[in-house]
Amino acid sequence: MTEFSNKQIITGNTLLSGEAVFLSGDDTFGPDLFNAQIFTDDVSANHALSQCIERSDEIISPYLVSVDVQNSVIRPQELREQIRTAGPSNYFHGKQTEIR
Amino acid sequence: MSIIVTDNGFSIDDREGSTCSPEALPPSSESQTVCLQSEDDPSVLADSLDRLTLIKVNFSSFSDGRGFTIARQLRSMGYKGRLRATGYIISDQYTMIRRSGFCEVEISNELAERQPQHQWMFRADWQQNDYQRRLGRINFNY
Amino acid sequence: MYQYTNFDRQFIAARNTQFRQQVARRIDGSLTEEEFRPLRLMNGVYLQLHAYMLRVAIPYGTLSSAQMRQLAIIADKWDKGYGHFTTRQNIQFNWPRLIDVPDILDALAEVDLHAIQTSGNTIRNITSDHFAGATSDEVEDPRIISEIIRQWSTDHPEFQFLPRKFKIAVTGCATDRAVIKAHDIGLQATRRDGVIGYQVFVGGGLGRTPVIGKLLCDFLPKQDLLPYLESILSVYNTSGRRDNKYKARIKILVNALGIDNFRDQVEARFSSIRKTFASPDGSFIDNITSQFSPPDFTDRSVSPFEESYQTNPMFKQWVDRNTAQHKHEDYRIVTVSLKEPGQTPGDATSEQMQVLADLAESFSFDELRISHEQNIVLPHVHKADLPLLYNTLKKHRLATANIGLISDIIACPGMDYCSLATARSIPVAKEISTHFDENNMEQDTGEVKIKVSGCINACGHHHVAHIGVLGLNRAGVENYQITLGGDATENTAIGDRAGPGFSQSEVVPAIERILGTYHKLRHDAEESFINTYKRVGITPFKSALYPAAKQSR
Repeated sequence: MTEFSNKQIITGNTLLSGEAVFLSGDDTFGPDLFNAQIFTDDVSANHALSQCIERSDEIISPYLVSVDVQNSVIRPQELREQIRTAGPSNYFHGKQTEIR
Repeated sequence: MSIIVTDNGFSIDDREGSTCSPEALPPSSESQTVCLQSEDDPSVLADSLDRLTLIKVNFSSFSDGRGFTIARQLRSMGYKGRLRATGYIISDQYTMIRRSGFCEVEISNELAERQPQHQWMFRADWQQNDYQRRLGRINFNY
Repeated sequence: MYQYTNFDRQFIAARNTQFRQQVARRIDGSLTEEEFRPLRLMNGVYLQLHAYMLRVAIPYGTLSSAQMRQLAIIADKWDKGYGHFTTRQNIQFNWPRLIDVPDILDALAEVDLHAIQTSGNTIRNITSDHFAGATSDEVEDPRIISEIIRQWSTDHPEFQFLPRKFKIAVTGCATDRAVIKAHDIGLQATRRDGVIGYQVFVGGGLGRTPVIGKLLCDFLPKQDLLPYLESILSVYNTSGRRDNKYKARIKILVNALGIDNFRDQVEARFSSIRKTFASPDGSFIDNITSQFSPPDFTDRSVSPFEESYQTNPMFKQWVDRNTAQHKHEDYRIVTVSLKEPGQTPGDATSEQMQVLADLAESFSFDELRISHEQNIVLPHVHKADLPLLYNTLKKHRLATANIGLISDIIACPGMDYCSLATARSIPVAKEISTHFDENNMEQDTGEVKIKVSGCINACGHHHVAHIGVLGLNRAGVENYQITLGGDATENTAIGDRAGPGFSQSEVVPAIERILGTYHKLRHDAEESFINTYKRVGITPFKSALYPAAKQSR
């Protein structure tokens, strides 16, 4: 069942590899969407984002992404972010190739 | 206080003091120093070039390249005095600065700490690998 | 083709050393991300959705076999075994890591390639006619001045931080295959009283404000080329808008000033800039010119060709569709389609790149071209070699006989890769090509140019398509607007918007209705889509696209 609330995660790309990554609960950035920390209010999300912006030696241009959570599966609301978290649709490349 | 970068490295500013904008430069003035902003038209200085000994061109941002063309215009107008780039310029632009006709760059202490002398000196070979010069474009080096 | 001198090689080596150091200085904090970003961009490194992207320059679309082989090796070693050829005649690798880019650039330098000025607010890679030096109606091989402009614009000290990017295209003949009037500057070689000079167009461009370039100078003498270009750039650098990136291209400045006022400013600056150029060293220019001399064409019997042409209908169809007249009657210009229906337009696997390199070496004087239509051209193939060439291409899925047809679609990478995109382009292009290939409508429809862009920036050239498709985001859903009647030839025209957009699944049926209308209205099979459209106008196509709207009127 979908929980209707303003849920957000923080994403960015790593400086060295460029891979899309997500902020997790232990304050590290990793490639797995399912580990992403979910923020349920704008204040804490923006606070965490401003801290991530400081980490420019590690992460490029972090930003907030609105997500839906269903049966604890995180799904970005926008198609752009769905593609970014899955991989391109023309080849079986990117994150979709990794076992979840 | 700020730092001056030339082909010889960092030095202190020997021309500290006030400079005026081109509008504030009266025709009869004795002032020898003027500072242009990116939006200024260098041709307003056409009649003053002989007595000016230092022209500064300010870069409000390193990504705004108008100052390069201003320098080039001043040189092609015949200005042979000191031409200094001030404001926000990074060491990676030193080659462009010199080839556009500037002799020196004035940078903040903060930038000098973050981009120390050796990073600027890495580009002191700006006379090398110059495609434009090979095609007949004259460099004005003073 | 142009052979690098020690000067070029030293330049690239120094530049690569600088970039390697810039990456290290970004990591150690000497450069902020804001400072590093334009530096990586001017070396071809973007950040896209999934990864960095490296755009490698293919100057005026010309490649040697050795260069193509190296691109294949790079695709295997640092990417995922393929490359994407673009509408700017470049190649993009979609998956490199930033820390590997300095090594990739060194590998490119081994074959005299680089990624310099393939991005950033600077003069970009010069584009040109992909049939240069092979077509019969040329005033001059456009690669000669393209190379001179490449050298002049490379690392130009004044023009690395322009208000916005700047694109120059060159054609050597009146037939325009380089869409020169959709560029910031378009140059066309022309002859007056037996002397070669250039027509200069300025302020063309696609994007959110499509504009056709305006005539700035009717005849620019050859010796004035560089000072005149420098004058245009100088005025633009001074006066182009920097307050709004959507209004920063030179077309906005030219429109704001008016072409006559703009010309006055350029002429005024030219009078002083001309004096800052010494007369170019004649031998230097002669040397560049001589490097584009025609290859040594051979006289051989064309009978193997004639025989296959008579007996093999598939071969005949491919020859008729994918090869063009060459200036030497025993030769043909071969266009290898990278548009196999259902595949990603412009993509080539490393294996295909290797095969094309081998074929160019054996049959086309070691030369390949990349067309802005995202195909690969073998410019000088003797007719006698065509049967063997065709058979080899066929083995590697490179013999699709569809040049200029429905499935020869231009498509940008779209939202599958691009961080600017608002909708996907590739799946739309794949669906269109698959559908019309399966229903066998292609050959009978003849030439129709379909171009798909995944956002308003129009990298897919949809404005100048006969049928343009523009992908937008409408309330979170992909929506595709259709334009009709654009033209990318010397009769450059911006297409007309047909009406409200379509969902992704409605695009193929919409195009089917457009093409059905064409079949109904054309005089005969000789009247092409674009000519029919020009004759009848948009109204019948609109009625077919929006039947309900027609009824309600």
